[in-house]
Amino acid sequence: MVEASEISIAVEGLRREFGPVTALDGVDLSIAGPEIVGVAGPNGSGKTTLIKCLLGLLAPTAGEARVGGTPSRAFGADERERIGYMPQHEAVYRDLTVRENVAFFARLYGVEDRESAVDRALAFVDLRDREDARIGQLSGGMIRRTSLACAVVHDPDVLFLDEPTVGLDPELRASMWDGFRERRDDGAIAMVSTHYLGEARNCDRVLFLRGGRVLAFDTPERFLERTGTDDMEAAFLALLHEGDREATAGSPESRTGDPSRGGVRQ
Amino acid sequence: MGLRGDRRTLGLVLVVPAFVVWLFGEVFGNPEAVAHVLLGVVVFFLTYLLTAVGFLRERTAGTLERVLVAPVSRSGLVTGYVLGFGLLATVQSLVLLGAAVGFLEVTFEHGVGLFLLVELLGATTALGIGIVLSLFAENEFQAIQFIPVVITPQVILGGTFVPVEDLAWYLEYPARLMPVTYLIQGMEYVVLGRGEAADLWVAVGALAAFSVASVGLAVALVRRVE
Repeated sequence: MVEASEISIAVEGLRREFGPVTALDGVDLSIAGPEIVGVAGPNGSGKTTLIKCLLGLLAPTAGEARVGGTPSRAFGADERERIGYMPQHEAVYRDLTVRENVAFFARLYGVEDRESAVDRALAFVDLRDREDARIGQLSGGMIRRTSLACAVVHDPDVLFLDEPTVGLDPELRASMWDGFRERRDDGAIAMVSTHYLGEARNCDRVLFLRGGRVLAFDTPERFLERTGTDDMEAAFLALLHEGDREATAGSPESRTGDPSRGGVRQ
Repeated sequence: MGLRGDRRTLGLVLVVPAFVVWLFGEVFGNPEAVAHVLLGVVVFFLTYLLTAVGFLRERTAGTLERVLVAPVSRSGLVTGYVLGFGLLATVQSLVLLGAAVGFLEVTFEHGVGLFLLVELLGATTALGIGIVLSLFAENEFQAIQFIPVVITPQVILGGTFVPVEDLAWYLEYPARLMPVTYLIQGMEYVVLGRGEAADLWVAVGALAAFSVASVGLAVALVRRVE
C-alpha cells in the first residue's frame, strides 16, 4: 500500500456521448486520500459510464479522468496494478471454481505469493468454505462475492465497484459494506456505485448524478441536514425536485441525458 | 479460458471431428479423394466457431473488461487467447489425424509433420478471424451469422468442388485472396501428394501471412478504447 496522499481521483469537465445520447455532461470531481465515495443516481444517470471512463475502458468525448495523477487513457502496467474493478456483470468464469477464478486474476496481476493472496481474498468475502465449488453451482450472492474477491486479490489502493450489492440480501449487503470500510481503513479509495439510495449512508461522501451531471457531492449527514430529511432516499428526492425547479427556471440545454430517453449504456 | 471445466464442450471438441470424418468414410466409396478438403476445412471451421463464440462470451460476461483493466499488454492478452484456443485446435488436429488414418485410411504422402504445420497455420488464421469478427458481433447469434458470410464462400470457392484455376476470373481472383484456398492447396500436396513442393511452400507462406495478419489485426483492435 502506498502513501495515502498519493492516491487520488480527479475528473475535469468529463463528457461522454454515445451517438445522440449524452451519458456524462461535464462532470468535475476530486478525491484525495482514503475514502468511500458512493455514486448514486437513477438508471441511466451515468454511474457506469463515469466508472468506465476512470478505468480507461471508455474514452471521454471531452474533458479528462485521472487516477493517481495519470490520465486513464494513458495507464501503464504500474497504474493498472493499483486499481481493482468489479464490473456490474457477473464477470467470472462460470466453468471454473471460486478459487480458480480468484487465482486466475491473481496471476493476471502478477501477485507474489499467490496462494496466500487468494486465501486472504476468499476470507475477505467469506467464501473459504466454498472455494472448490464451480460458479455454476453457486447462488447469486456467492457469485457477487467471488467477483469482489477477484477485484481485491492484488490488494489495490483504488477500487471501482459497479453496483456490487445488487441482488444481495440485507445481511450480505451489510457485510460487504463492512468489507469496503476495512479497505478504506487500510488506506484505499473505494468508489461504489449503487442505486439503493439507502445504502449511500455507508459512504463517506456521495456523488449524486442525474442525467450525466453532478447534482450534488457531499457527506450523507450534510445531505440530510440540507434537505431537512431523515433518510437518503428522501434527501435524493428533495434534491431532484430542487434540480427540477432550477432547470425550469433557466438552462434550455438541459434536455441532454434525460434518463427516460434510454439508450445510455450501462 | 472458461472452457477448462466445461466437460460437455470439451467432449464435443474431441468427438465431433472424429464423427464427421467417420460419416464421410461411410458415405464416400473412395474417401481418400476428399480427405484433404475435410482435414483442412473441419479444423478451420471449428476453430473459428470456438474462438468467435468463446471470445464473445468473454465480452458479454464482463470478464474481458476485467482482463482489459489488468496490467496485461495487448499482445500478451491476444497471445493468451491464441495459446488457449490454439491448444484446442491442436487437440482437434490430432483427433482428425487419428480419424483420417483410422476411418479413411489416409496415408499422408508427405508425412504427418507437414500435415500438422499446414493444419495449425490454418487454425491460427481462423483464430485471428474469430477474434476480430467477434469484436464486431453483439451476440452469439451474430457471430454464427458470420459463418455464411465469411466461411462458406471460402469453402465453395477455395477448391473444394472445383479447382481454383478452373473458376471464372471474377471468382478466381477473390479465391486467391482467401485463406481456405491455400489450406486446401497445401493439404492436396501433403495428403494426396498432388502438385509440386513449390505449391506447398506457396500455401505455407500464404497461410503464415494470413495468420500474422489476422492475429495482428486482433491485437490492434482488442483494446481499441470505445
